[in-house]
Amino acid sequence: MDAELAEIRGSIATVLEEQCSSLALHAFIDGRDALDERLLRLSAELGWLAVSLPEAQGGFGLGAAGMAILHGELGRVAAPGAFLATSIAVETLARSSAAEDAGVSALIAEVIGGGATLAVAAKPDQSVADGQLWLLGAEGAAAALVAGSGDDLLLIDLAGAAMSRMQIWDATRSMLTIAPSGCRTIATLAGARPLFDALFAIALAADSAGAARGILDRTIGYMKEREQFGRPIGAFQALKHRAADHLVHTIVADRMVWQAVDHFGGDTPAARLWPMLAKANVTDAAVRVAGDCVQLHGGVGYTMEYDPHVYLKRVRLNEMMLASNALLRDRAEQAFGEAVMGGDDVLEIA
Amino acid sequence: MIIDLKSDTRAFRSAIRDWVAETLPRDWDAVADRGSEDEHMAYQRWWFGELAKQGLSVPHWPSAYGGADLGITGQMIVADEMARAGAPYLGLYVVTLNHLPGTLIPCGNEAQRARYLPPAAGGVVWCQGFSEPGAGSDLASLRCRAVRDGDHYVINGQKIWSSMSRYAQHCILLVRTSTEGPKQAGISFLIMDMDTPGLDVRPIEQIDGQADFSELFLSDVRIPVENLVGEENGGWKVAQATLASERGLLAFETAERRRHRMEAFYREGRAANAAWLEDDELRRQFMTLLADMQASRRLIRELLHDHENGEPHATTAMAAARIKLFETTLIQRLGDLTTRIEGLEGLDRQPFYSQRYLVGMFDYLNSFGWTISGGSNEIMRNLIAERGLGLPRG
Repeated sequence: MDAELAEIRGSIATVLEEQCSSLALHAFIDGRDALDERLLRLSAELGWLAVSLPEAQGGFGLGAAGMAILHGELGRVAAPGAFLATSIAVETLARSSAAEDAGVSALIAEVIGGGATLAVAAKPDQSVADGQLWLLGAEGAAAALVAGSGDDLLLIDLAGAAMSRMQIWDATRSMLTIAPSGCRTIATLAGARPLFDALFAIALAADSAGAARGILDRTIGYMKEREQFGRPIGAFQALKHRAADHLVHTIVADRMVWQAVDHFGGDTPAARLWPMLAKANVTDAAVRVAGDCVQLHGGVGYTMEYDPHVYLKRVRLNEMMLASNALLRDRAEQAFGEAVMGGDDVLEIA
Repeated sequence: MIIDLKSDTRAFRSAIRDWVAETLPRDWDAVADRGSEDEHMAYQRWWFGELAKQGLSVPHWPSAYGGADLGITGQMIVADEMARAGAPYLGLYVVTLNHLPGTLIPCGNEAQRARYLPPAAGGVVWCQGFSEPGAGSDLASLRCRAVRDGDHYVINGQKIWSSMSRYAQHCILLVRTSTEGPKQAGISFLIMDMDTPGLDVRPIEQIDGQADFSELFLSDVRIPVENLVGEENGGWKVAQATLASERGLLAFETAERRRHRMEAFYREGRAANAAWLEDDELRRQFMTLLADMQASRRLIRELLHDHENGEPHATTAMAAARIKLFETTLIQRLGDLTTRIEGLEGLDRQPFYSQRYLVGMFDYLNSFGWTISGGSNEIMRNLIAERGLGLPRG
């Protein structure tokens, strides 16, 4: 990672460590503190959502690398709020033909300034059961990106839409159900679906890689303090070996995110391959790591009071969104096959 | 010689590529597949000789001893081109190319360097006598005894897992010269000629059918005192230099070879409409491993760049331990997958060695050599947990 990216990552991490400690997070989960709103305000002041945004839209233009950094750090502290959905939606809008539209352009500016949040279809290919569509996003979201016909996406207006907030296990994000048929379409984003999927995949992978590392670090801290049989439980080989494996898998997960970042954009097999594989492998790994962090905590890991469950629930939601990991691997295999049989080298590392 | 182009990386790379294409017979590994282990070694010797003519056998060595001071970027180019071409993998020379200079240059004396390094650059094979039946992961507890007798040491004991020792002319040997004080403080480092009387080399048959390594039995083997590397009882420190001498280029080359083999395996499967591509579980597992492979290759590159940038040993040693653990486990998972892909039909004994394709049971069985050797993966986990994560010692 170059120095500029490292510096931005450091500044985001510092703010989140201050604001989103374990204590603050539990206060939010228990309904005692509106941490999500405070973080959203801070992010607007500090320009977090502008980091990735193309320069033409008033952003810093760091693209997928910026997404990887922001969501990696948000995941590390399991930050509550509508960051993921808002970020994916605004990045898609800014890169689509609809960005020319004055209304859309105003919406992008409003979102970056912290005046609005956005929602996205949690699983764009989900068939609409009982006329209800599942959205990832906050209750007050202004608009949502949902699948249109073919590769098109629709930006729909959520003002006045019949929506209800779902009860989900993950306490750090919120999901809504809406009846899309009753919503006004603000804009059609022609052919924007591959772009949206890649952004969604990278954001989910980054959030999950960060979350896995975050809960692993806290678990290792706990293993150094918690004593049984007269010594810290981290001294037991049966436990420390698992911690070592998890560390390796979180580092590997991080590199998969960067593999995806390096191949983001454009209509190439590599752009269809790596983000999908990153989402699949990283969310799988994060679920394994976070699940074992519950186990490594012992009895307290089974309580709401401690952190592991917060992360486990977050990464399980990440795992299920966009599309099943099995399906993403199939899509990746299609892209890989196309590349290999077409003589296109998608494995080269610059 | 091609090595003369080393300062122009693009010209260097393309000269290697052209030269390999002209020099290496197209069907070399098909020929080698049908050959015996000895014929395979003969092929490696021939290839080493061809590389030497172009200055590419020991380019990373100092020029004073026959090398070309080639930096890590240049070494990566050579390794990458060898992997791309599927050129013979020089397993026979691992100790010769890495551990020998890695020991003698920092820890040997000038007479030893002058005597041993130039012939090694010309293809003399070396092996390593470190592990013993009672000293594996706990290497410092080694017991092979050396007793001073005039200007010789007289050695009695046993060594094990000595790779390529059947083919070697010299051995770097760890012996116990003292039983006083901490066990690390009584170890000495010697150079042994493999034709010394009293040395018996017995091959060990491995689970994959190969016999890369042997057991060494030493009965009153006499080694001149001048063959002591470093100080008497100072061998543990020398051995640390030996073990740190391979800086990731081997992992880089084998990972690059695997990348091309995975691609070829997939291409063949597609071309043949292979059943495994229609099997959801196998096809998806292949894609899972493809992503893992890519992440692992990125980690290996980072390690090499860290070496090049002179990152501290504590940093690179941890990265190397993580790579060893992940990469060798990946090799095993890949062997497991290809074994399942090949199914019953793959359970006939495969040719001993194939560099072009992934080979089910052979690769799978062979992979245990990677997960167990070079510091077993359990030792890697201890290192990562204790030195990396700061978890207390057990």
